[in-house]
Amino acid sequence: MTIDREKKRALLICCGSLIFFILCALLIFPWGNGGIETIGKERQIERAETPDLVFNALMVTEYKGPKDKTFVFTGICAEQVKMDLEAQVALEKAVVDDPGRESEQIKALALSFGADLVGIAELNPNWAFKGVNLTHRYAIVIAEAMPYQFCRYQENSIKAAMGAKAAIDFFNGGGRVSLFLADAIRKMGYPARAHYESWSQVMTIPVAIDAGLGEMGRNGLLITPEYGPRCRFSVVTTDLPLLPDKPRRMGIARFCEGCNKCAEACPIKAVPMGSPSVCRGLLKWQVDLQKCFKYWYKGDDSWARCLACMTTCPWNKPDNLLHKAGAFLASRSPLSRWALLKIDDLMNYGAQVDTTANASASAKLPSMTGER
Amino acid sequence: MSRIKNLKWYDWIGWLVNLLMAAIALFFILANALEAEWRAVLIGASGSVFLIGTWTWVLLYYGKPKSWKFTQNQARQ
Repeated sequence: MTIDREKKRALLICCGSLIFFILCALLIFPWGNGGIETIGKERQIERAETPDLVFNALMVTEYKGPKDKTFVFTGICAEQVKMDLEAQVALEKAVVDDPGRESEQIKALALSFGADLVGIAELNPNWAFKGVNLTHRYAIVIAEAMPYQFCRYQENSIKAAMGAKAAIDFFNGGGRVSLFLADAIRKMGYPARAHYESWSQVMTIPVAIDAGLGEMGRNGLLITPEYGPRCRFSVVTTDLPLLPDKPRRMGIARFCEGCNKCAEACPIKAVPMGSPSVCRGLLKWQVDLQKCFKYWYKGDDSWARCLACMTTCPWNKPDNLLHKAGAFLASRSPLSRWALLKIDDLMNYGAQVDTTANASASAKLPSMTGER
Repeated sequence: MSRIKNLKWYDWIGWLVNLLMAAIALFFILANALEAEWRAVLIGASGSVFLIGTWTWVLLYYGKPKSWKFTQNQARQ
C-alpha cells in the first residue's frame, strides 16, 4: 500500500515537473516563426510622395511646406543658437581609418545629444521621396522616446494634458539631435543633412527598420523592443564612412498579426484589421491617413488626447528587465506571443482608451498648425 | 536534516521546480511593484501563491502518511 502511494506521488511530481519544463522550453526556444517575415520588405517599390503633397492630399490647408531652414535654439545662457539645415561642409576632411569605431563614436555623440536609440543603415534610394535626388551613402537614425507616463491611459483629463505636452515637446525640439549631429559631421569635412518631420527627404520608418531599430506594427508606427511605439525618428544622411547595423527581426510583425488591440481601440477605425496588404510595393498594414488626420489634426481637441493606437499597444511598456524579458519571449514562438497577449489583457496593461471622455485640459492647448 | 536525507530524486526535481516558480514570481511581482502596476502585482501575487502553494502541498503532504512520526516508526520496524 505504501509503495503504491509512493509511486503515485512520484508520478505526480514527475508529471508536474515535466509539464513545467516542457512549457518553459516551448516558451523560450524558437519554433513556428514562419509566416509574415516580409513586413516592410522591398518588392517593386514605388517611391512615396513628398510631405508637401501628402499634407495637401490630407487636406491640411494650413501646411505651407517647409518653413525657414534655419533653426533657432536657446543656449545655456539663454542666447540664441542658430543651426542651418544645409550649411557649408568644412574643407579639411577628417581621416576615417576604422568605420566601426567611427560608428560607435557617432552613436555615442547622438546619445549624448539626447537620443534614446541610434542605428546606422546603408541608405536605400527607394526610401527617398519622389523627385528627391539624395546621393548620401549612409543614414544615421535617431529615435527619441516619449516618456511612458505620458503615453499610458489614465482615466482623467490629466492624461490628455500629459500626452499633449509630450507631443509639443517633441515637435518643438525633436529635430535638435539630428541637426546638431549633421553639423558635427559637416565640421569633419563630410556632407550631411538632417531629416526631420516635414524637412525630411526620406521616409524615416523604412530607414529605421534597415538600421535595426525595430519593426513596423499594425498601427503604422515603428515598434522598438525597448520603447514600443512611442518613439519619434529623425535621420541624418551622410557620406562619412560608417559601419551599418543589420535589420533585426524581433517577432513584432508576427505579434501584430495576432493582436488587434490598436485596430479595436482606434475611435475612427483607421487602423486595419486582418492581414497586411501590399502598398506601393511594400507589404504592410496600411493605416487610413485621411481618416486619422481628420480626427487627430483637424478635430477640436482630439489630436491631443488620441494616442489610442499607442497606449493600447502591448509593446508600449516601460523599459525594464521584466518587459525586456517579455520582448525576448515574443520573438520566440506563437505560444509565447499568445501567452503574452493573454497576460497583457489580464494585467490590464493596455487599457482601452475612452475616446468619448471629455478632455477639457487639452481644449486650450496651442494648435498644431501654429508657429514652431 | 533527516527529512532532507529522506528526499528521493523526484523530490529534488519537485523542489527545483518550486524554486524556479518562486524566482519567476518574485521577479514578476517586484518588477511590477517598481512600476506601480498594482493590478499586475495583485494578480501575480495571488496566482503565484495558488500555484506555489499547491505544488508545495503536493511535495510536502501528497501521498505521505499523515504523521511524520508514523513514517519514522515504520522505518524503525
